[in-house]
Amino acid sequence: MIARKKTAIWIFFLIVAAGQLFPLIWLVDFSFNSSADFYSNSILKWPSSPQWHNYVNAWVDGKFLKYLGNSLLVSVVTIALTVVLSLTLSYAFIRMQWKLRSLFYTILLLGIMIPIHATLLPNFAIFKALGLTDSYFGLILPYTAVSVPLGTFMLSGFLRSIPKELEESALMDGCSIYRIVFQIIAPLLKPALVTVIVTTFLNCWNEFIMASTFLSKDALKTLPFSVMNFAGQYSSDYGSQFAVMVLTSIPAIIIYAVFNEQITKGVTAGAVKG
Amino acid sequence: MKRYSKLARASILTLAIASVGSLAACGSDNGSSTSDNNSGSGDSKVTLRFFSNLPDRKSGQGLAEQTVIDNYVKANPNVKIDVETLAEEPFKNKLKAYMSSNEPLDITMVHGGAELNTLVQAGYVTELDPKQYEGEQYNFLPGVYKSFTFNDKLYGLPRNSDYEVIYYNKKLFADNGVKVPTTLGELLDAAKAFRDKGIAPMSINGKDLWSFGEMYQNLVLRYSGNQNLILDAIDKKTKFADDESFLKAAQFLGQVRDAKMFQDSFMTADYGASQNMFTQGKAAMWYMGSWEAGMATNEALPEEFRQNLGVVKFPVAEDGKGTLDDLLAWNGGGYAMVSSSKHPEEAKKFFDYLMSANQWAKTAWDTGAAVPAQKYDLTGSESEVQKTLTDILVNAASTSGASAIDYGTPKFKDDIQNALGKFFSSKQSPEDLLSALQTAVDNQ
Repeated sequence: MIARKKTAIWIFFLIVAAGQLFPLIWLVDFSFNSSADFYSNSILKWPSSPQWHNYVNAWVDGKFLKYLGNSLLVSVVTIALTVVLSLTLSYAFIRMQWKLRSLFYTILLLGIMIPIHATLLPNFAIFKALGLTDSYFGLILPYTAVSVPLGTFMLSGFLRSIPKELEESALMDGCSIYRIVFQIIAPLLKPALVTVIVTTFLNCWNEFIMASTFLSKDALKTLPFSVMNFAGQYSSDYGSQFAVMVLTSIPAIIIYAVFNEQITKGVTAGAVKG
Repeated sequence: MKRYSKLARASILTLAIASVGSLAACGSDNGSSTSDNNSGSGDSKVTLRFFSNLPDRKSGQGLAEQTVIDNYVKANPNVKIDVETLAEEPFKNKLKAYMSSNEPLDITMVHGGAELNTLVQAGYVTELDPKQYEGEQYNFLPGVYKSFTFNDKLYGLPRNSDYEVIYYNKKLFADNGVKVPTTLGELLDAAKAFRDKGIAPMSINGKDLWSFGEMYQNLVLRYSGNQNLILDAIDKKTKFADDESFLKAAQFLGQVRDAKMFQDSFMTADYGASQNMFTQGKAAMWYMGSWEAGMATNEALPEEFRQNLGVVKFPVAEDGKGTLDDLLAWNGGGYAMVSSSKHPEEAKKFFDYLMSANQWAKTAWDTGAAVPAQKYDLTGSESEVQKTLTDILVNAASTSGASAIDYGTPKFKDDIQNALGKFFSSKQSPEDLLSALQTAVDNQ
């Protein structure tokens, strides 16, 4: 009876896993097909001759390496700024006592409701005047601005569940406020911090519309432009586009795989102690 | 301990400021390097900014465009051309952003009609002298300036002749004993014959909606024989109810819908999906424009398909006044010079070079990427499809000069396309379609 239940559960999870993995399999499968093979009746198609040159196209014509460097730079700086700001902000809001604290907290959290693309044209006008278009900073600034509210929200929820006594004893031992935040609190918030890092990473890794509006110089472009390099006016080189997408998704998969356990912890922990 | 914390504070602050400073410096470095180039004039190095909607530079029109640019840079080593490309929709959005901030581009791709009109009204593009482009060097076909002229002034030059034809699969027609249609009645017969055999008669990109607009304009042309009728209706010089050709055309669309002439679930098929359905031999016909001339020589497509590819003119109506040689042709894409350019003289030189008949027109034709809006010489190595397409254009008795859906405002385009999309995805009557079209005209 128990054995049968176990197999049933296994089968169920295998089906779920297959459903989750299917888009990836599909992506990889069609990255080896030529454009003319797309939109056929079969869901997956074994390529008659694997189109390795799709990957060559992606690497060379898609300028993959150059755009990857730009994407990494923008993402890493955005993540660093988001983490530092969210951590210090949430500490200030949760642990410190000051006037108008809840007002500012509410205002900051309102930021979660603003979609990044609603700010596109106003930002463009402002950045244009400041000379920030066509620079890495022109992307980092808005990306950070939309990530910080959510990051602060997640961290502050988590922070509430950490007993105050820890900080009190640290203070007794003569610990400064910076040391408390960065050496005592930060390690305890690790699961939540990882969640913030991963969500921020995914957001700026895939963002295209803002990047396409702000950047004109090829030297600054990020990875989503690479897919664009294979689009014609009417039809596109789908095979090469899929190859680019496979390459683009690899860093995201690696990050997710590495931090997987921390993420699940980060999402659930803190929820019970509310 | 206190000292340590001060140190930590100082270092964090320094780091933060330094990172911001260096990033900003990255930006300004790049900015200043272009302005250095820009300040040069005469014989010193000049950088021209070129904005295009063709991101793929290795095939099709993008390749043709890049070839001309490379030719020019080779002949003029003091000129550097910075090409910025975005695909269709992002391109349109960014061009608007550029327009509103008066970005100093030098030359930009433009879509004739409503989009160019916006740029003209904002004073973003330079007026051109049509007299200068007469004669052998440019060789523009007659009437191609229509979508680029506003208040009798010319603001851009067309790069292509776009016209609607039916591509068909000769083998599918021969194997199933179906006659290639020359009248609308035969078209419906062919649709029924292919449906009976389980083959999709005609592939269309229903999701994009614009092909419906072209087809409706084509039908109105076939019934009325008057190229300007539908354009007049959009200009509010006549009404859709006033001429029976409009109703007949709508009724024919109803017959097309009832005969299931388009492939199954055509409303979800975008350009690529409808094209691949046709190139994979699953649909007998494809209603599309002359810009697909390159299909016959595109080696990514199956050999068998390429050998069986044929082109026919849109069929005539048995009870209509239009003839086979009335061609639904317009000039959609083109190039314009930007008025805020920092090097108007150098930009003009390159613009004239680009539009010379032996540059863009020749390159685009030789690569099969498009049919130019200029006279071109046949090289003798053209595919059968290219030859037929040339015949269709050269022998056209009349051309429309504008595509109806692009003749009004952008809102009108949305409205008319949605009205047609609704008609094809419901059981709406042709009369209701007409009133929807009239509403779209009235509300523009």
